[in-house]
Amino acid sequence: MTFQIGRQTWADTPSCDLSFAASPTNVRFALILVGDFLERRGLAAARDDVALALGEALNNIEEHAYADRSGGPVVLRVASQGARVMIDITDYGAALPDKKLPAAMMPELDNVALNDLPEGGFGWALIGAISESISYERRDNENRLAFSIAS
Amino acid sequence: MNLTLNTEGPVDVVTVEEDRIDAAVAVDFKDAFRSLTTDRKGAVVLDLNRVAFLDSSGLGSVVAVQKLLGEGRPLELAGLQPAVAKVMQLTRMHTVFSIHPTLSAALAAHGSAPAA
Repeated sequence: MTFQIGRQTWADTPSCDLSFAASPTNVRFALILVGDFLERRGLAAARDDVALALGEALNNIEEHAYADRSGGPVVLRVASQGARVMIDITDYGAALPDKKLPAAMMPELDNVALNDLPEGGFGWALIGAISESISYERRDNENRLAFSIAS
Repeated sequence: MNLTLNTEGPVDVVTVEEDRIDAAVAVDFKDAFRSLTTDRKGAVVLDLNRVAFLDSSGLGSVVAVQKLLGEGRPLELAGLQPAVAKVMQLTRMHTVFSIHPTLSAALAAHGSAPAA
């Protein structure tokens, strides 16, 4: 499996269903397809926020959940519900630490020397800052992350 | 990763000629930036006018190239599109980098007018 686009995605349906092998280029492709979907649903105003939060979530899966194997499967559903975008992501990689959402704290920048500036650790904080609600569930060998974003 | 280098008076301008700096190209961005700017001096303005999408990996690579330049060579950012400006605000990286609305404004701040 490399990249599958749900049959209904192009029709005027309220959801965009994608499944793909986790890789940086497939993440990029998924974000572009989701952006097109949001535009067709009249939710272009949410496109930048969704791309940012969804990109962080998908990159986390690629880098961490599937750290020990490349190209693990990701199942993504993006649905519109009024002016709200609902995002559901399933992967079959490693669980989040302690099987719960990490703290969504932005890394500290004040009084930090140039060479100590953080080059990462922004992902969950960005998702938290952008999304209205977020939930994570580990069930059997499956990670299920859901969050919503207002347009 | 397609970056170009132009010298405008006292500053080097590195222009990103692509519309995304994301996890797929973050390492390439760092390598391309390094090969353009080693063995040079002075401030560097990074022109992001074409960049519509910057994720946290892309942001990390921007921080990394400022570290490569070192204390004596500030990296300034110019031409941020709204989605890029938002990432800078949310992460508070706008407190770390000087940010100019446009490349012309960045050059004017260095007393240099852009080439026609």
